[in-house]
Amino acid sequence: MNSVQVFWTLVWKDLRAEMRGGRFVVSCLSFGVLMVLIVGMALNAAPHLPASWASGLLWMVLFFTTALAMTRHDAKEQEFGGWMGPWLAPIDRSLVFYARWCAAWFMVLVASVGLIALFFIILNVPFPVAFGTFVAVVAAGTLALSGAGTLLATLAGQSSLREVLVPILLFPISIPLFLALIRLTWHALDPAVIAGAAWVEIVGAYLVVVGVLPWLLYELILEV
Amino acid sequence: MKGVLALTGVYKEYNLRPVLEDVHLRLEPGQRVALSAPNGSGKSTLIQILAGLSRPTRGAVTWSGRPLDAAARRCLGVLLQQPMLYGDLTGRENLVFFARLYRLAEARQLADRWLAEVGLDDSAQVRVREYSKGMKQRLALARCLLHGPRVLLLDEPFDGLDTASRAYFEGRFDAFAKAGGTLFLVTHHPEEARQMDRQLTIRFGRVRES
Repeated sequence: MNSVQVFWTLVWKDLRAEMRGGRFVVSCLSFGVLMVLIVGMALNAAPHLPASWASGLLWMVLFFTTALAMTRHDAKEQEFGGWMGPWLAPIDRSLVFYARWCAAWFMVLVASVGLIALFFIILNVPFPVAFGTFVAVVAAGTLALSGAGTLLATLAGQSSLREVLVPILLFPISIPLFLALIRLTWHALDPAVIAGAAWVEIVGAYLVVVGVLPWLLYELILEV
Repeated sequence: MKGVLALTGVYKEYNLRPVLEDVHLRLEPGQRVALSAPNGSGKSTLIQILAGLSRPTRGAVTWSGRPLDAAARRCLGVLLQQPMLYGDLTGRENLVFFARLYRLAEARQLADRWLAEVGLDDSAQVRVREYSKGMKQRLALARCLLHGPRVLLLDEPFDGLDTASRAYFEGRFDAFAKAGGTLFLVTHHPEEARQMDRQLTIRFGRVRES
């Protein structure tokens, strides 16, 4: 069995557990729907929500649901100490990170599809004009957020405050990413708004950092 | 593959408080070693360092003279206070999962064989969340033994086991040591410790023969 097969074994485990327990997607969706409803009521389902507001609100909902889902995902791993099992295996430990990231991203993406559909319906937001860009931004944004969340969950894994630490740390770390995603989503909703290449580069930089850092540091983080 | 798991000059601090100090320990093949010490004395920390789950602040952990790397981890079977299982997977899925991580051939058949061995074949398709404490412990021990380790690092392995299961695993561990395996067992029961070849304790962070 090579590393790719080990990677898929780890992803399979997370997805299988999710299909049984359903905590990640369900908690993500239920919390996100509540947020969208509250925002909808607060704005009185504004008939013409500006694209700038819509993009900001959308990423606020996606950020909080991702943070919550990462915490739930982590709690499930910690329950019977399962999280330590793969670290004992004769594998490159960074594979554990990449598999968790991949599974978390998939589950966030599944929940996001439902949430985004409800967001557009409930808040009466016009369908994105640049739909391809919108899909790419959502995919890249959730990928970066779930990667940062997975890394922070590992860093906070030994702390008794880990359930609070992940969302608290995720926010300041994600501010530049957050701003870039809002700007790019705004552009997707209203292509008249210019989104400079710098915003794309910020998202790209996040993906590179979240993708490379664990490969270099994950073994060290785990053993501290 | 026979080998010696060793700690050399190991110190471990948590929040600047020393937990282990200048620990020198060699676990030889065929040796049965018991560690008994009061709560909070550093037993779990010691077993985690031996297992490569925690990095010593200073000192070295070696397997046959080389740093404990991924390949060396294959030689270890580890049971900590938690069973290290996934509650939403069935007993069989847990064992298949770990067999694949250890890159073992015929993972499903191997899992079935071990489930029968530890008397969990009837509960193979039940989620671990629904297992009793003793069942989880039996499955966790099967997980430890699944890949044929050379060293067993076990923290209270008989905790929660019924008499029959306990007798079965005691026999297994004896056979394991007779075949050249190294058994390192953390226990609070003096009678269990007395059955071992060496009895260790931790006093003020230092490991000593008791």
